[in-house]
Amino acid sequence: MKLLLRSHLLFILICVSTANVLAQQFNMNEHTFFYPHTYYSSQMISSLGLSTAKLPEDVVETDDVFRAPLFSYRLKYGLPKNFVAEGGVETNLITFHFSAGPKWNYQFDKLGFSVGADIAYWFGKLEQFGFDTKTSGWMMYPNLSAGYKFDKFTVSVKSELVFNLAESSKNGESEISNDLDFFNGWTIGVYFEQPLWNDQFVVLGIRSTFLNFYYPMWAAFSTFDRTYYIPEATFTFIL
Amino acid sequence: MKLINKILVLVVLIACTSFAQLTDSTYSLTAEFGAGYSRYFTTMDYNDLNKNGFSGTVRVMWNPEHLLSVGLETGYQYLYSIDISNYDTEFGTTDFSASMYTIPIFIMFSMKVTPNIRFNAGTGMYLLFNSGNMFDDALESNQISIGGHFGVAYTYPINKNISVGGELLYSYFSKIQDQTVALQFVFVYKFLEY
Amino acid sequence: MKKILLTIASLLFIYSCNNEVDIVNPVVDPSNFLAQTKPLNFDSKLIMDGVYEVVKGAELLGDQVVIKWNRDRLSIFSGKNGGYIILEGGYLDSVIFFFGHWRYSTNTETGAASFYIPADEGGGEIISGDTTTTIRLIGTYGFGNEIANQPLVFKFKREFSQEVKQGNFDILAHRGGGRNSEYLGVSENSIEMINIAERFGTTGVEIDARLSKDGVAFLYHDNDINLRLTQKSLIWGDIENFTWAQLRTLVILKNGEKIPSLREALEFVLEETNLRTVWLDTKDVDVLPTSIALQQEILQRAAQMGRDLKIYIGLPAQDVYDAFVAYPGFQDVPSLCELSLDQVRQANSKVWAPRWTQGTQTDAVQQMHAEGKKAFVWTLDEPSYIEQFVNDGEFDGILTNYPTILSYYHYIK
Repeated sequence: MKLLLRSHLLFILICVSTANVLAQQFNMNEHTFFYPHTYYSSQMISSLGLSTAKLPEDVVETDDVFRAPLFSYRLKYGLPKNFVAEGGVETNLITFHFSAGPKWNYQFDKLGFSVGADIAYWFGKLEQFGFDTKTSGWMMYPNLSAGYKFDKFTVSVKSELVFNLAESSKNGESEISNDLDFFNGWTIGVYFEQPLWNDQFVVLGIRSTFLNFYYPMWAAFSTFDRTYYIPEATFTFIL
Repeated sequence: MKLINKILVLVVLIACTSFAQLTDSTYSLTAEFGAGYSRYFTTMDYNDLNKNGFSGTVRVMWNPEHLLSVGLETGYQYLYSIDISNYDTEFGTTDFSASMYTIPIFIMFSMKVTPNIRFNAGTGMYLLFNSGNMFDDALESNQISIGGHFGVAYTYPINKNISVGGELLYSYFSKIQDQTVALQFVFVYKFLEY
Repeated sequence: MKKILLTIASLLFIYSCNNEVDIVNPVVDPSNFLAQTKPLNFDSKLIMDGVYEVVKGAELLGDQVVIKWNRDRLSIFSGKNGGYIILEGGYLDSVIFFFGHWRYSTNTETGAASFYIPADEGGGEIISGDTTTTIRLIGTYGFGNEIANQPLVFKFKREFSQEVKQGNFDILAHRGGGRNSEYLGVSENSIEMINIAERFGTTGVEIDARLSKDGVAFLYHDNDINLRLTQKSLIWGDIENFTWAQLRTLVILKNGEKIPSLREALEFVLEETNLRTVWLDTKDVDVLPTSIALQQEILQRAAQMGRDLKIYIGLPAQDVYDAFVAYPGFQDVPSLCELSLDQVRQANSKVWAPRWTQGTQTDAVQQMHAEGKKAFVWTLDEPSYIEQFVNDGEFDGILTNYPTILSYYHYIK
């Protein structure tokens, strides 16, 4: 009996401890994507998300319920000496944007920093609604991130500069290239990462973009030379 | 097993469950009802514009074991009304009235920052309802606006299933580029726990 | 507490931004010097039209510009950033003076500009109406509200080519002359916009017709009252839900104008402008009978006045097309069809107007020409594509939000 009771109590103790761990103890470095923590070699974290942008009325001429959706999948892979390789794809089905680049992360206790640069290739194609259009381009995104780890969530800020390296479009048999300014603009985003249920982490983020050319809007062929403010809201699952 | 051991086991089990509750390892569904006062903020320049009215919200929230909850919201919010007599126009003089209210349909996120304080944020669409009269012709129109809510709520549990408190709620309507601030009394009922 | 402050700060940062643009109105002719001058006559103005070399000021407008008089303004078009200058002019003794402003059409950079043509550098001949190719405009420009003190000199290079002079190419301006998003200081689809359209080199305008709840046709592009087109008002929603009196009284366009009725707009084009083409786009099937009735009336009055004016009923979509071909006597109603070539034929449209994103479509355009029809293309804004379409395409007209850019590439041909 004593043995049975002790084993019961041991099981209960394990139960309580596990519940305690599940409820409160997370290694944020295993579960967060935007928080710039150090990665161990071959550590992999990916995310699947949806963002919606409020496009400028001057360009799209509508402020309806439509908000430009962008689906994204991103992956980070840990390399030696605090380096991380990141890649990703974004799409709104008529446009695809592939990016890849290195980052160098440094974590000091709860504070994390990262610096990196991504190169991206994007292309779009539309053959309906009076279009016979293909367009593509290359972009570069030098970026900086900083983040802080609280007990139950992290908050991170990521900022990027955006450069147009090349761009071309073809409408019917007419074609032009490299018509965009080299410096496109910049972005800044704030991301909150925390568990939603069990150990399933989610990201709630808001990003402000200040861009001359916002690539998902290419079909508008906006010609006016100005910087547009385009806010995006993001909801992402960490996989 | 002796009775005392059974009792001991039971006590430990109960303690275990309680501890898990303290560490929020249960899931729950709550219905949240808010009602109160709303003030409309606009750059329109009409002296007689009434910008004070009623604001109400109804939310169903899913509360997992962590800080973040997610749910759906609808409700009602009065925006403005105006009544002008003998309004001069190029078509003659007329009495004129107009009003607008809105019904939100939102996805809501709520994050617990202290045991009693939550930040609420939501986005979705507002149904805007506009009505009035001019030259004895009714003005009736409705449309959809995108927009967002941001609020801070304080609730205090009265018992296991009911909490009451208040919420300060800021709303923005993209179509008309105006906003409201509402102060609501909040009643929260936990109708399912698992 | 830290978490709360952090959240509030980040959200405040995000929402503090907006898409407002500041517009500067340069100070032009502060001493009202032009009031002392006499206006040039029509023959004198024609002498000045041509392509000019930019002797000084290439950093602003590139190496060459097009100079062309319209109704009451001298317009100068360049290929750099869609730059243009609009001037009022007059002469005193034997010198011609101009005051106005320059602007890049693809952004909001602007400033004052002023010129004079000395008597011995073309001024004397122009005033007398004698043809001359020795014309030199000597002037200055400035930035924003600054005084114009940067040198700007143009020298006559050549006349317009025979192809340009004898052709009937239509420079068509969108929404009456331009959109609100070009920040021209007047609203799209307004009388005020139609009034200045010719200053951008426009020979024709596209306008958008809708019908109020009580059957009055008016100009308005979008299907609802919104802040892109109007100032904030007490009424919102689909514009067809309101009577003409309600719209006219309660809705003010973005730059302070009233919504014009279709009758007001067409009568203004007929009586106050030299525009030769109106593309009357049908935004709402219900407005079609009213549009056609007004079109017929204005065309009759134009014929009586000896005015060369074409008004085309626009058929942009299938439902409008179906309603048009069901209209009694549609074959005699001049129309412009944006749909297929077969539909152009079935509606007996005078003009086929495809979207520019399908390319120059030279074969199809030649087919239309062979059948005695014209071809326009819409709405082309990208400067490099405008240049391609002007040089390689065979369209009879291009609809654009930047008629100044189109004017440049057309007149230098």
